[in-house]
Amino acid sequence: MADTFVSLVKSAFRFLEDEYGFTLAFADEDGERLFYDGTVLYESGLSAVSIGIDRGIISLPEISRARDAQDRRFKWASYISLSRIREYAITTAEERATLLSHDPGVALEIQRIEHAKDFGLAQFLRSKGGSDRITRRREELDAYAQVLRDYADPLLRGHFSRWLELREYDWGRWLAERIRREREHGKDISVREVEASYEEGLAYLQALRREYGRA
Amino acid sequence: MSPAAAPTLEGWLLGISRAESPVNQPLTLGLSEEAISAVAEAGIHNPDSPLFAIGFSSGPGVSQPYTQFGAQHGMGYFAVDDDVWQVFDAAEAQGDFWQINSQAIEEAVTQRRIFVLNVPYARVESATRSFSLPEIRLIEMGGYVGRNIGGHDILVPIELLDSYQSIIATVAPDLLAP
Repeated sequence: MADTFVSLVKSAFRFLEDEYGFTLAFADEDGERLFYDGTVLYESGLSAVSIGIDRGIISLPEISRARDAQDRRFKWASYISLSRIREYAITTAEERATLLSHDPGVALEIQRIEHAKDFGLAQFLRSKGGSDRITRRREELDAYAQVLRDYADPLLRGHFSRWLELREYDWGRWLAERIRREREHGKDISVREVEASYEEGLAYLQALRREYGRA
Repeated sequence: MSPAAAPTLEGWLLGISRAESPVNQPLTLGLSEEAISAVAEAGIHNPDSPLFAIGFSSGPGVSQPYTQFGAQHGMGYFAVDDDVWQVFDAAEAQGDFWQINSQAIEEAVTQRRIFVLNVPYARVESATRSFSLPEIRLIEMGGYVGRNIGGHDILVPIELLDSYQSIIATVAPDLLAP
């Protein structure tokens, strides 16, 4: 049987079932075009992990609390990318302050941080030497699986004590990027205006703040 | 700290510096302008609709890929056939595929179509690996502004701000229902 996106994901992420008690909740992919688009979703009673491919590009896994992932109010906002979780873990406080800055003048400094820390793992993946595209895709998924183990172990075990902290950082990064971009184009937009443009995301964060006693 | 890797000229123009973005991938197939235009044109479905669906094919919250979303509502959308996809997939030519994808979007911008997203705009902004992020940047460079209608984020040509609601009500009224 030919290797497909779903079969490679199942192989690379088998550890979620064997070591963390997840089950395969959903798997679907384009039936005609190999490695074009698809989604694989794993769930435990506490956590959810989604891995997707879109026009041939495999995304880093996204993670949610299981109950939030099943809440229709937060269908878009509940997941956070492993890329952001790793970014939060590998940056210094000073670097995070720069990344969260609303000043468009920090753009080059941000590019330097992004490149040095390889947020999207682009340099890491280029260093892989697989002999064919299936092997390279397998290596890519194995790398994502390893990053998931390395940086999201507590979340995979259902320990979400730092969940709000992560979500606040993710929200702040999105806000900062939008505000810097608007200001680059000469438009002075407020935090409130930007937050209002993504109602579901703000509602989710506010619900978390209440839950964690930070409202 | 090492210096930042330079984005491609197009990445710079679109304000996307991240190395993982398809807009910053090398070109490997050496496609001619004619070939790019021909493949892009063949990949545009429902070419007469004033609406054009964009967004994600997969991932959390995506109840249907943007292609199905477009087809269901009779909107234009971009998708290549399997024989074309095999060429790009075999060559791992993401940068070349972006050339085709962007040509289809530029064509829709030229025709002043209204773009309808199947995911929130804010989700696209954080999707640094996706084709969707350079798509929305490309569209916005063409004189578009964001609106929300029936729970869908849309990008509207500025000259259609007075009429886009009636256009949508005429050609895809089910989009108006939240």
